[in-house]
Amino acid sequence: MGEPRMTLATRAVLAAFLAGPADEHYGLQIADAAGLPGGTIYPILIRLEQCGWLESRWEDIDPQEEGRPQRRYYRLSERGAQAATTAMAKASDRKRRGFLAARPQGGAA
Amino acid sequence: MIEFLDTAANAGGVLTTIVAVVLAMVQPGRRKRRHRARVRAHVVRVSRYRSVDREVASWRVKAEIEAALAAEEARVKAERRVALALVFVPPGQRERYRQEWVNEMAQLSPQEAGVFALHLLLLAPQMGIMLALKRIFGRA
Repeated sequence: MGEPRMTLATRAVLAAFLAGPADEHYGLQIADAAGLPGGTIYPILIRLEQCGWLESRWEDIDPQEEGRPQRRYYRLSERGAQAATTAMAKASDRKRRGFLAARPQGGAA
Repeated sequence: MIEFLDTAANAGGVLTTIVAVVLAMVQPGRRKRRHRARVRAHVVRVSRYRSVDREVASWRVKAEIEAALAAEEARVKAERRVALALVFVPPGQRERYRQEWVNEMAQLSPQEAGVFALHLLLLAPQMGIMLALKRIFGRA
């Protein structure tokens, strides 16, 4: 399976997951952590799930007992945790190199 | 009253006794009149408050009804948007995403749910294509 495009939003979502790689998060929680509007994270979650970086499951609760509906929880897969760390490092390295390349080189007067 | 007359009589003066008797005869009438006037004033005051209260209560009820209607309208609009977004999702996965999005929206206020649903609707074609490609080719 391919690698997702590392857009700013994708990086923000991955950063939210990498803050606690073993933790499970539901949609609104991920959006909050990533600082993105709630409805905009689903294409990213779908993409990451299709790549095998994320796993999801329905919460096992009785909605009437809890007083709220079931949530769909997402967590990084083992492969996803490694791949996301590498991809994030690569993306930040690319960003740093881009910044350095944009700096004036100076030269002979 | 009898105690008062006894006291007046013991005090001596006939005039004092007469005045006391006259006062004793007159005062109940005065008291009644004053009492009636006081009761009337109180009734008028209370009825004024009641009419103001009634007016305030009716405004409050109206405002509550309007807020509830607006919330219901926003909720219905959000549900419509989700239903429309689900048209783009492949049929096999529609139920999963419907349940997931509706459950997330249940935790939001109607206005927030509307914004959430609008974002879903705007991104639904993109999600639909990703899910369809995965289903057809087994890859995204």
